[in-house]
Amino acid sequence: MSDLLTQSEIEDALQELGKLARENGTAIELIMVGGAAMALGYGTHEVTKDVDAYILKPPEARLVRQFAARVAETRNWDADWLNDGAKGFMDKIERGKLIFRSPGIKVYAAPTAQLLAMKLSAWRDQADIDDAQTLLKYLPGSFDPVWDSVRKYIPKGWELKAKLAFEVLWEASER
Amino acid sequence: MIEEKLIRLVDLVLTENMRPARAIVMELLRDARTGKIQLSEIVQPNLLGHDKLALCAALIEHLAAQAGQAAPRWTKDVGVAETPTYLVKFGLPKMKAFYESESPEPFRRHGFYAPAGYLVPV
Repeated sequence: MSDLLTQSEIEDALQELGKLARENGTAIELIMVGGAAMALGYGTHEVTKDVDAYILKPPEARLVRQFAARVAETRNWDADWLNDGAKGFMDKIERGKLIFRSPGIKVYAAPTAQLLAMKLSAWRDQADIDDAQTLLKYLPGSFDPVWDSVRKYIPKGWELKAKLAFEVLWEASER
Repeated sequence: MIEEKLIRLVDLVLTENMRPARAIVMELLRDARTGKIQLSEIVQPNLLGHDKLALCAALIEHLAAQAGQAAPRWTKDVGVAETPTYLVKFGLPKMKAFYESESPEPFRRHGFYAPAGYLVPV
């Protein structure tokens, strides 16, 4: 696996994941964050090489990882294409908008404010900043209420950086 | 092959085209961690200009630190870029002090500044 996953490739893989879940008498619910959530939920066109998601259902998360490994085999993808690598940035687990649905699987994005909080905390490079700019457009209101909605999702220890990042983001948004 | 990837990575970083840059880093790290490539054996790429070479050295050292491998000896000899460069332009000058204080050591050593977590796959 050497290229970026496109939105349609991710959707195909999720559809197959749902199919495998149904065949095994279960159903999957995921909360997606990161580049894949941006692609499926916010119309950005490029994604990263993997899909960051928190597994809500089934309770046996290992089942989903097994299904994901089978999906990977047929595509020559890394077995951990679906992973919870961003879990450390998620103090709260909440459903945002439904971004994908197929028999056997429902995928939610994390709430927009939480996705923005994660981007502000990470703030690693221009890709994070591009995503943050997109997300900010989905959060109407003036500075203080929007910041309040975002602040509650910022992981401990990241408040100072996230606030500064939010300020420069807000200034650039010309709202 | 690996040298070509590095040259591409340098250009992507300088143009802040970060999603493909991240993808290359992930691929190189995976190959380094599985022993498919030895970063210490990378020969000095034929890049134009000292500053691009300094960035290339910083990137290799950054990769080596993450992969738990040694960087090639030549990266130390490359030294510092003539012009200090902020690899993330957005938010400057307000974020400048933050980028300077957070910058991963391999970048700082070669005269570049980037946020913490820069090109560190999660």
